Amino acid sequence: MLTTVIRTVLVYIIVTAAVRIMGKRQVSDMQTSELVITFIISQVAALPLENVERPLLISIVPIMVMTATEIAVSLLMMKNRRFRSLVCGHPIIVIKDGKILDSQLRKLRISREDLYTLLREQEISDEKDIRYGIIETNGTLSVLPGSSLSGNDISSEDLKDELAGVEKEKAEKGDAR
Amino acid sequence: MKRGWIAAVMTAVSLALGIFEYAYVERNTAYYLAMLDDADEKMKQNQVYDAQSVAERLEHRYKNEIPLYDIFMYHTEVADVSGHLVMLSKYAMAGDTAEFLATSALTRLEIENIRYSRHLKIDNIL
Repeated sequence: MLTTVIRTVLVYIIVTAAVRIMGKRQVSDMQTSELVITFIISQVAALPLENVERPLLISIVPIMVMTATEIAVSLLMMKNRRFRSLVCGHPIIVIKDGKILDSQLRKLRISREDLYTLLREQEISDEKDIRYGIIETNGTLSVLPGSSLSGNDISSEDLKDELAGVEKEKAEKGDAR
Repeated sequence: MKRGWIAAVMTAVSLALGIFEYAYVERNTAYYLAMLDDADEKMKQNQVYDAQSVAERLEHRYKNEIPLYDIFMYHTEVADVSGHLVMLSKYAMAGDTAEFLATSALTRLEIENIRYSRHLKIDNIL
């Protein structure tokens, strides 16, 4: 039992150090890969605590490798937009000029009801007042009311391609009618 | 960039541990298997005292290396080999050739499994 006590303290220190090194984020703000790594680290950390027959290194080495991989991936994502898009995806516009874009919701496998829930969580009862509604890469919904935008449009780099895609789709639908 | 260096150090330490484990296990298991071969030969030639001496030397060496094995391997895996090596020297002392050879074969299999499981092969990775 004493070995379990010491192992628990050691595992606690290692996991805390790993999470600290990976950087501070709330669970709701994490990207998919970060969330997955956090879950895996917690599972792997428990292995030598469940069974003292298992050496401690069976947890320590995977935790170190995963932490190092996560840091390497996040550094690469900072330097390369395409890589970031590959790992995290890109924000998706689901509401434009007060209209819900069902084709975009289908891409995300989100129903209108799910979207209304997200809007209500932001205390918005009517999508008609929204200029842009964007599902971010971490799954949260960002709402840009028409009144908050100066000029005609948003200019975020990561949304330019998405905006162009939405306009193109709208134009194609207009031609099809 | 500091985190980048930390990541590099973690990767280097993990690789170093892996390489050390592989080299250590590979070297020592080769020695154990050679000693088992030697003990088997002596036992087959009815050189009971020599076989017992080899078995005892093998048992003694393995016992000295157990603390390091316990850091890298499952403790039951380490203990199983240790138990069979103890039996080996007792069978040699009793002059029981059949039991000695059977236990030696079992110990050999266990040691080979330990060795093989450290190889970088697709069946070990998957």
